[in-house]
Amino acid sequence: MIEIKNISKSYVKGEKIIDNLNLEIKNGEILGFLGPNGAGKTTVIKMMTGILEIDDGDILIDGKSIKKEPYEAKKNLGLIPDSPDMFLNLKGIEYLNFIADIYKIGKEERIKYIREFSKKFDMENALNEKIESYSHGMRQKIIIIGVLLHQPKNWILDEPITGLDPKAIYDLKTMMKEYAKNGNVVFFSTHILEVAENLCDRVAIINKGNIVFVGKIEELREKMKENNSLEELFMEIINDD
Amino acid sequence: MMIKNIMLLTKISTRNFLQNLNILDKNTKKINKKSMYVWMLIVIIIAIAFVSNEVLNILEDYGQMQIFLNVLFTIAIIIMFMQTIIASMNILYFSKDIEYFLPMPIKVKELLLSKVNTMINILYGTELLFMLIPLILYGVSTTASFSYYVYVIVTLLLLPIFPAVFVSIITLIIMKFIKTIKNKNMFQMIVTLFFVFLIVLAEVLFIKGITSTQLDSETIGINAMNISENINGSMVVINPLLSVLNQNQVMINLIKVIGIYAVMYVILIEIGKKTYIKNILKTTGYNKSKHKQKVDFETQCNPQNLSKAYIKNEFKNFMKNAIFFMQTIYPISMMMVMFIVITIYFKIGMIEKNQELANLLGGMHLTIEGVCLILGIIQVVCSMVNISITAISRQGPNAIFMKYIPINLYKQFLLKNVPQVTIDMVISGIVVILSKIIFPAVSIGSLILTFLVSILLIIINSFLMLIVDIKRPILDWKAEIDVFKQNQNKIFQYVWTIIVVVLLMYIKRAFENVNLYIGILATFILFLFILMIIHIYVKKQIKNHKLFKNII
Repeated sequence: MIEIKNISKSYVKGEKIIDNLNLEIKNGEILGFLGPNGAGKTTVIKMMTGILEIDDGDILIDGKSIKKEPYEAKKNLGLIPDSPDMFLNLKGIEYLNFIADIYKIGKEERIKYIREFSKKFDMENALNEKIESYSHGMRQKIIIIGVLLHQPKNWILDEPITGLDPKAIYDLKTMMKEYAKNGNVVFFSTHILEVAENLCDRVAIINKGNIVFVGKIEELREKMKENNSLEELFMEIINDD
Repeated sequence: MMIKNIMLLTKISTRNFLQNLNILDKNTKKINKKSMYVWMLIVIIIAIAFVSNEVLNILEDYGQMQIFLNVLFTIAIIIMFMQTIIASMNILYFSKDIEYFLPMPIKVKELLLSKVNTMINILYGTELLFMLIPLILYGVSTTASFSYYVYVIVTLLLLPIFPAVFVSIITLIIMKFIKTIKNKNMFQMIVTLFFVFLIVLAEVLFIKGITSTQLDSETIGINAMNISENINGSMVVINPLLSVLNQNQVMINLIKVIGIYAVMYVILIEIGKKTYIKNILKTTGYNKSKHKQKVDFETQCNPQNLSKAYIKNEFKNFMKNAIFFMQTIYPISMMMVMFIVITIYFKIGMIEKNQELANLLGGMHLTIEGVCLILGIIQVVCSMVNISITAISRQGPNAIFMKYIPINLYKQFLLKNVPQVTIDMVISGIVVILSKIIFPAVSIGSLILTFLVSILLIIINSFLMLIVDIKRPILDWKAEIDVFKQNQNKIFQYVWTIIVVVLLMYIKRAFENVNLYIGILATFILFLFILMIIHIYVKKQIKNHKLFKNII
């Protein structure tokens, strides 16, 4: 479970990028985090994962404060960043082993997961290649496998769909659903509204550092009292704000 | 049309190469005073002018002025050959512009000749640096006529063509026989290491050659002349070009040189037509042709201790990338190899042949002055190792990785220092051992203590440089070389080195009249105190979320 409690952030004194934001993502839930460019999505994700310091408020990951107990909180987190260009000099298998060592995963478990996920993402034949030789989509897949290796209870994905082929998108979506079904949190930001519409239990829309809507798509439609597409509702809510 | 295309491609290719050196400021197009290369060039030019002047004065006294031109051409041709060996692979096969040129309607001949021209242009730069001033000084010393200076220009224009075309032909042939290049970075690294081996071999042979007999200036001069005559004789164009400079049968020798070049160009073009593009495709498309190797999970998935895995990954970051390797530890590896070779030959070639010198050095014991000198040398040499000062920047955008993994930042700070400290300790060990070789009477105990003090100095240096990079990282680079080109943090390394040198001078003065071991102990305590202050600062900064706040 992730609890975001009254968090604020400003880079320049007096100009808040995130203003007193509250959000709760329950176990077993997929929450889509939507918003236009520059709305503050990545800033919130960075604060959730301990990359960026929180000015005011706090974020609890399974009850552990990312501010006060970062080490414990991070153990339950898995992040897929927006850029998959990581550890390009390593081979795929070296990267996965490195991640497994960091999260202290035993031999049998790591072999089981690497086998399973590399097969699922069609990466078996690429594991002995350097990541720099991978396509964008393959890089994205190896990062996803790396996160799945340690089976975090809270899965945070920053624009995960970008660059993936249709099969990989389908597999990822299926996996996100399965993951949430097993009682875990899946929190992801996206620009692709269709994905959010098909996948999410709830969506949160952020604009200019404030959450302008949290709820189910049906509730959003109810609120706007029109049976529009999510895209139209999104535009309406952003423009209203 | 063909010549126009070649000129255009040469211009683009040369500009690409020069941009990497960062000599001109991108915005103002004026000399970039912040560039390390600019200052290095100035120092080298001054040093060469000084040395040339001294050598000319000595040779004038012995009446052996002709040695100067011979030896100058030998040294220049060796430098040019080595430079071309390193650059040829990059320019002919691995430069980024090749991928842009390939889809264009450019003939093989045009692309190949433009690449060879690029190498020749680079060598013109080398000539300006190493040959122009010595040749002018020679002209002044021998009161040469105006025509000498005209022939200097002609000779300088013709000389670099030989190494550039010759090495290109050899490179084309070598590449023909290499089936596929499985790992571009590794391949470049092997070529570089081969180059280091050549330098060592050349040094050994040259030093051995000039010090093999009795030691006096005249004999060294004659030996150097013999070696250079042998080398110049094997480089078919050098003797004719030297004759041109000496204004001896100018036209015949010029025709000879041009004839040799014509033959070389014909060979180059013929081999190039058959192999060049095929070889380029071999290097750019290796991934597609490579046989896919399956993972052997049992052997490749062995768990490792967290700290060991982290440190291993830090080492891989600069060892597995040619640019990072070249910019972090390659210069220091070269320097240490030279240190070792020079020391051994100084010991074998000079000290053992000169009883007076042997007695003088053999009777020396370690004083606090010597300790400070050793520590100063270690600090200066270690300041060339750019591992900690780029530890964060080298990670680029994925430096944020360290912030979201469940390893506390203080532990990561310590682990990130391990590679630089390890390499620096090896350097320190080598410096201490070399000191023992030159000064055999110095006690091993005092040298071990000096080594222990140097470890503290090394840790302090690494901690400080890592702090600098953590506070001022360059994370948004497009190409790996930008980590070093755009990095202004190096200034902190220079400033710290100056502070250490001043501090060591003060220590030397403060403890020169006390027992050596007390002096060493006091230095140890002083450095330990500095290290503790830095340690407290790091802990406090991490606790207050300040140290890593720029990594976002």
